[in-house]
Amino acid sequence: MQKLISKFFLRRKVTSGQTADGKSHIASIPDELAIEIDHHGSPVSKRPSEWFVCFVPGLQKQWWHGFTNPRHKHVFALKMVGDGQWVIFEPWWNRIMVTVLDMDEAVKFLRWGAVGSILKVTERIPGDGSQARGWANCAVLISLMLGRSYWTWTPHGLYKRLSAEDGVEPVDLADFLEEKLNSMMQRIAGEALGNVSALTKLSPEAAFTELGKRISKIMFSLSSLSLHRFAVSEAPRFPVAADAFFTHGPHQAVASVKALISHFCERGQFRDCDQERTSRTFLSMLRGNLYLETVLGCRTEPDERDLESRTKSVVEVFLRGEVFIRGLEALPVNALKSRGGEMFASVNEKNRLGLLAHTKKIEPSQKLRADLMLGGIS
Amino acid sequence: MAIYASTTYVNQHIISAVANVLREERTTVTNIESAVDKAGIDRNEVRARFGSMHGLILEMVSELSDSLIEPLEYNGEDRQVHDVLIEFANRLADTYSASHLIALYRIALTEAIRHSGIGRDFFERGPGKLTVCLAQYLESSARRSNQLPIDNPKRVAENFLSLLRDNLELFDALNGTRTSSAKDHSDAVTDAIELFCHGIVTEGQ
Repeated sequence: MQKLISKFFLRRKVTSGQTADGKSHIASIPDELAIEIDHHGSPVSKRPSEWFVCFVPGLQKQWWHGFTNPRHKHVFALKMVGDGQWVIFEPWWNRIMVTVLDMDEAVKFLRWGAVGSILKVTERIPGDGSQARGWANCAVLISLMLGRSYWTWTPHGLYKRLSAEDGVEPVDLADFLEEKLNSMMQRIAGEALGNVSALTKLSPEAAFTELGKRISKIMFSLSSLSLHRFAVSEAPRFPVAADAFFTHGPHQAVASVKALISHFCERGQFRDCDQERTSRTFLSMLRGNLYLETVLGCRTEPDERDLESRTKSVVEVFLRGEVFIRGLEALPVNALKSRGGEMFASVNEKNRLGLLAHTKKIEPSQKLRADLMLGGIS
Repeated sequence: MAIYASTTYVNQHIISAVANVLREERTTVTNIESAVDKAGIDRNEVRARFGSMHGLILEMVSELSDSLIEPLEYNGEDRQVHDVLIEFANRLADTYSASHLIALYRIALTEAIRHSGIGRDFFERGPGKLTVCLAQYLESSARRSNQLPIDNPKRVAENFLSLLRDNLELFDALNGTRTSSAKDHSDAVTDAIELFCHGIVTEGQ
């Protein structure tokens, strides 16, 4: 009898998730596969997350809309899981969508939420909801996901119950985005740009290559690409948040480039120029077509090695100019006028730069032969 | 022929009316449908003529690109390469700062977020086409003047276009309201070409 009672208690501990040795013991599962579980029966203990619960009007007409609150006909929830990444939990008629969204994608859902109401709610672990609650509509499923036991079947009913809870706050989307963009961009730019003044000890080539690599790395990161799309796409609706992106992102990068240009101008290594404009130009060159292609979704973001070789090529053109094009005569630029010369690089220049190796088989034209005879090859 | 001419005229009228709205409201418009509505054009008419709203966007981008590459298409011997490049560069600078391109870019980017598939076509008909045409022009000019071939004309063209992409203005939506004088444009073009030809390093460095 005593044996029977002890067996009964042992089984109760297993089924409730609490075991004597902290392992789950199921007869058909080998011991070596047993995993440690917490007191809720979960292999990993997680702290409760904050969810943005969005109560929204419908986007397309449904037969049942007439029975629900005009602004709260559907409910879904999102939470931030990393730098600009979100998880969405949205009950559909035929599935539950659980997926990761980038910031620009998440804002599309949050904007929908802002048309209705957004509440910031902390989930409960283990919670007091129940799977046996029945009728798995959006309100019931969100309530269960948050660990609530509310007996309500409508989004608006859930909204009223959650609003009445202590610690649940309404979210102003514009304020939230402004704060988030400010903090994210300041941190990203601060960490990635690093100490630019230390670069002044390097040669112009080394300094601009290093700074170019740092800027490219941020610029082509998934989170920055997503934030750029957000800032351009949503600027009319969230101008302050978009401004935060440009101020702490591209403009900060321009300021770093300008500091380097200013340093080398003072040392006489760079010619006089409009430093602000030239700095923006450097950034524009780093972007190139690649940025447009990536941000428009034509290709995936480039890897670090691609970016490095591309940066070196951009820095070369930025510092020395395009080696194949020389002396645009009659341009309204004194420096150019004084240089004169031809439109394309001379053979001398190409030889000097070691660029003729692949053109050995090309027969020089008559004009070129004449030029060579007149100019000679140094 | 009369029908063709009439169709072309109506299509052109639609493009022009929508372009005007996008130009005037470049900082606020976020979708092509609202621009079509504001232009007083029936959405069904647009779908019937351009296949879809995306069709209209792509037609507008193509039209802009075609007007930009005009200077590159004239192959007369009387035109110097630098004259052609300066005219091309000036057109680019004007287009980036004063046309409906920024609004189109915002709309295309918004569509890209929705993964609607317009991004690649937008790129190929816009910046991609400009790059290819400029590369072909540089290559043929080098050939015509009996110079050695350019190693990678597409890369050279891309660098040239990047320099002239009016920098942040295209990307910074908030700068859409900024106006710049003709002198600013001229200076920007001159600086860009100077940088492209000679770089920023002083001689002897």
